[in-house]
Amino acid sequence: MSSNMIMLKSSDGASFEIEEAAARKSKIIANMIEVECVDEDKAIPLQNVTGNILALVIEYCNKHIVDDDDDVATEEASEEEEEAKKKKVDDWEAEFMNSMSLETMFELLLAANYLNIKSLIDLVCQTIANNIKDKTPEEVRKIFSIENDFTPEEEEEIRKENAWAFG
Amino acid sequence: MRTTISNLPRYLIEEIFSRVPLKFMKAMRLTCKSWYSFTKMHIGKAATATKEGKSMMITLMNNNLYLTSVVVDDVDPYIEHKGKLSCLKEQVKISQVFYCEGLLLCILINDTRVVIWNPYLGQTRWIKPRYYLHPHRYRFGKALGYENKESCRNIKLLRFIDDLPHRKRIFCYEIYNFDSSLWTTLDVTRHWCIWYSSSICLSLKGNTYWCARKKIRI
Repeated sequence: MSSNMIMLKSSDGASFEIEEAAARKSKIIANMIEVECVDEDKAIPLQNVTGNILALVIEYCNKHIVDDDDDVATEEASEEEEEAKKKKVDDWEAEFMNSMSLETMFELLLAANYLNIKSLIDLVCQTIANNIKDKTPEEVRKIFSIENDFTPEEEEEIRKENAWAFG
Repeated sequence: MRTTISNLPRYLIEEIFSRVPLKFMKAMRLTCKSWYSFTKMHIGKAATATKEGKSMMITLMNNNLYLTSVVVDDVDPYIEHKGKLSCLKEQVKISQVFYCEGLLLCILINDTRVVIWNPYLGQTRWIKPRYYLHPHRYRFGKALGYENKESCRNIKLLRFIDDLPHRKRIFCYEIYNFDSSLWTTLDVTRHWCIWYSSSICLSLKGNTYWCARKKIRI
């Protein structure tokens, strides 16, 4: 395994050292490496990502680079092993997201989007979507700090759109 | 400054919404105006996502409904079963299904009720007929339709029997109004005769059409 390390620098000036293989999870960084615009001695500045969020991104990338390596090593793994491994990743991801506030999730999503890490975008979107499921409109508004901008008449109108189904 | 969902670019909000099952959409829709427009688009997207070269079909197999994808081309046409539609919570066996503008009317086995099902929103409505005749002898024709009102569609269920079992002509047309939840018997003067009431029909823009022939006096 390549042990090339590269440096990332957050918008608030924090530096992080990360294995190249983990950093390549970000398509933006991978592209930078491909076109050799990464100077070994210099940190890559990430102007849209703060230190605390970058730390989370790196934690995610490190975890997943290990998993990807496992995939190569155990190509002939049985179905049960595959399932057990998938469950392990799912559990880790659930735990990872569970410790986060909604505000952190939005920031992490913006960072994942900026760095173009598809699997992290998927994970965060799915977690936020799960927060919406099974909730009343009032609860959803409260969770997402949304103001109700419908007039009572408009709200009634929308309820009517499928009136019989609300019974 | 706090980061909220409104700080996300539109396409990321769409990414999130596309992961919320459609049956929760009605709550999301009522949250605020911008979410209302998002959810409308999302439902539209789900409905048209497969338009290019592929069509989706609902098929009735083994008394269950399945979503089936159909690809028709010159080279390699195929049908693929995408999975069972299982919004109906109760275990039901479906004997017949009719379609009308996104709604499915399901006739059940061993159950006198019928269920109208909106698979997109995961909503159902159970309707009990006013009276019951043995299905082996008397087969009712049924159809869903609607009337466009100012603010919404008024959905109606038509149920009729127009048959000649055992040489006795039985005939009755009745309609169920979804707004009032009431059955009304229709006073129709028939100039037609639809034998085999449950035979093939076609729904178009809220109306349903059957094959009929001229009435014969007996």
